[in-house]
Amino acid sequence: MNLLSLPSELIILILAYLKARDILAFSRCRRSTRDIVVDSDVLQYLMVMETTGLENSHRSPLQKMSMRDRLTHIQRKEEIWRELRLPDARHWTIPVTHMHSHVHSLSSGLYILGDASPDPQSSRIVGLHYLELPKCGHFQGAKNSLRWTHVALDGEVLNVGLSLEEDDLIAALTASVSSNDPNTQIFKLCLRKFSTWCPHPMARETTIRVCEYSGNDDQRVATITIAGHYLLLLMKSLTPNSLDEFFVYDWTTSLLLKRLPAPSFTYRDVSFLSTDTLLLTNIRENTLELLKLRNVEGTTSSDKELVWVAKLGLPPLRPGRAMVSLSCCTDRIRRGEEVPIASNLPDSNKRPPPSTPLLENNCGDTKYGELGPHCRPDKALVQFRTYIQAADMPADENMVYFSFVAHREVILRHANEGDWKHGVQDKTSISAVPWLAWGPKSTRWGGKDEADAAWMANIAGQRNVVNSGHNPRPICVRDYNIFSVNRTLSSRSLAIGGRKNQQVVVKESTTAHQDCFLEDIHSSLPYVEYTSSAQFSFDAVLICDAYIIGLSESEDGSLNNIDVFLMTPEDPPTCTCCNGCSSSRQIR
Amino acid sequence: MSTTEDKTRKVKLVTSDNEEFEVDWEVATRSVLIKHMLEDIGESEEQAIPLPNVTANVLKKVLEWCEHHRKDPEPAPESSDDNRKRTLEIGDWDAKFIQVDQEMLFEIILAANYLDIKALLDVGCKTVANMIKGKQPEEIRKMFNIVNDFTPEEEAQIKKENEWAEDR
Repeated sequence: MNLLSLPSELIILILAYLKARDILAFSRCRRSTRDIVVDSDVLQYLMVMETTGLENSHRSPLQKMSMRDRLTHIQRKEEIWRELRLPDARHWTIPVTHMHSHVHSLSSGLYILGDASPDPQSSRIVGLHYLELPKCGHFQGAKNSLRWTHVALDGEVLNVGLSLEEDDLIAALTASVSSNDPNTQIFKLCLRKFSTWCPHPMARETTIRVCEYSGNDDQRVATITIAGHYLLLLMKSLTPNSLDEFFVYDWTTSLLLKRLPAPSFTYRDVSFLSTDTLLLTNIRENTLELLKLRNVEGTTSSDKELVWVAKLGLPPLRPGRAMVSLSCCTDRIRRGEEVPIASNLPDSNKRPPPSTPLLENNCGDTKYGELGPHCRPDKALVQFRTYIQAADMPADENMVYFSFVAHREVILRHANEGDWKHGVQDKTSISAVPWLAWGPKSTRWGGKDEADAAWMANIAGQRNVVNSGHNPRPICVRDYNIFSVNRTLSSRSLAIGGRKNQQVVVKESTTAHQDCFLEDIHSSLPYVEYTSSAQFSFDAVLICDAYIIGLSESEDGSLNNIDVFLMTPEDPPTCTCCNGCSSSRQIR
Repeated sequence: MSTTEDKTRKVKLVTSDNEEFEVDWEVATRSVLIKHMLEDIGESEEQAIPLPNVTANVLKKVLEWCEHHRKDPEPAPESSDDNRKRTLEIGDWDAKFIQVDQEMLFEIILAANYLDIKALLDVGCKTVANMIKGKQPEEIRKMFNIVNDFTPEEEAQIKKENEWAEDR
């Protein structure tokens, strides 16, 4: 009796516990072990999922497919991103006809663009236009149904936060003038179901009074991020000697878990890195602050507290220089699979009549969300963008732009394994990990060329998109997946499958300090860059999930057209999605 | 099917080498196979259950595991293999239990599979997986007495083809 005398199903069961490198090492032992691995769809699928960094939610249509079909689907999808054969049949051009603001969002298969306020000085929005993006190649028959839908908001809105895939939630931060004092503004969060626009049934209170600020200071902007039950709200002041404030809510119970005030020009952006770890960008200290939401000791699990677990230093600035913004952008964090998806729960307040199906397609339990597998939360990239200028200059003058990317996993490692991983209430007791100790090997920097500033350059898992050079130019997608890099390097050395449109970059790059940073910045995170053969004249290119979006601006900087490229296989082996796509869909 | 009487009921098992084991119902029914067989034969409890694929020395070991885990809750319904956590951790008792020679280890895996004892099968598979983890092909061959039948040229070629999967 030895290992190879076990039936191959049992050998496969054993190997299924291992990582790709171990499975492949086993396959190299002899011909029979190689055959077991090569012939097993399960092992091939597990290895592809591991090395692409993808996962399937239980409501992915792929779960209904055979292992072999899933494998084929994912390999084809990866191939589409490598080929970048644009444009092809799955391409749509949609004109922008409304007066829009710069509030926009691309997630869960929706492109959302805010309506500009009638007051040209105001950055606030009064409504939203959105496009439901096509979900599969079959959509082309229904080209006309790709059109804007409009919703009016509850008064003047600073910004909105969305959690469509899980809870069909839109949270809008409204501002209104107090009836008692015309100099006081009251800020409230309004929680609605996006699909029906009804008050959200999971929220105990659908309007949360956040704060009020008095004085004529209405120069405030806000960022809202939602993951699971947590809602993060960052209120930023644009005037000196004022306050930035950071709020953490459980939006279902409307409990305020944390209110963190700071002098204005401290915090500039916030993002979830995992369901309980978040990142705040601090431009006053030039650091990334990592915080954890944890259970308060000796209490029920609903009592949460926010503690600091690490600080990561950024490259030191020259004297007299300051960051004016530091934003971070990453894939949405999805709640863990074991938590029931909220939309499965009884929806007591507003349930559609039994005869009306809640879903217009069979893609999953909610109507929002991409088709098929998505990037594992710990594998996604985070993209940072910053403007730097002389500290005494008025904003918008002589600003220098920098951007860089890092793997979320690497940043999380500092949160989970650092000296303060158990968390402290007082962040001054934490010393920042110096830039040189973590940054150069874990990041890749660029300047204005690498990412467009005006329109948020989004992330799709481990890929981002480059906006460099003059129009017309090809679309360039960078893949920071280490396996993609290694595979490309190795296929090159094997002289098989080398492609003309790809380039591997592993060597260190140097970004000039431009009189902003103390020294030039060295960074060496490896990537593969794929270039489309076709040329385009977009002013900005975004990516998200399975989409590449090209934006075309008119001379005054407003949007003329939006071009959507769908990056999924033409015919998913058992596409269950088209029922909804081909027939015209009711929005609400 | 489980009733209070079941708890005191004894079950007779007969191995391939004709050895008879008498065990508590609760212990025997850790095996889904035995549980189903008992349900099939119903109340005629005198009847011994034949296990033609298991020898006495292996069944003894398997029953030792079942005895220790007799109070374990029913395993959760199988989640899809897609998002299953591929953890290799084994409980302390199980780790000690499974410290056996390779011959016995593979016999336990076969028996757990045949008797349909999912948790025991997991312990066995994880143990073997841990033995493979992190090793080079030559070390795996040595560990499990596998004879290499690739030519050196083939081996070099395959090594090159698989290099990309080294994530460090």
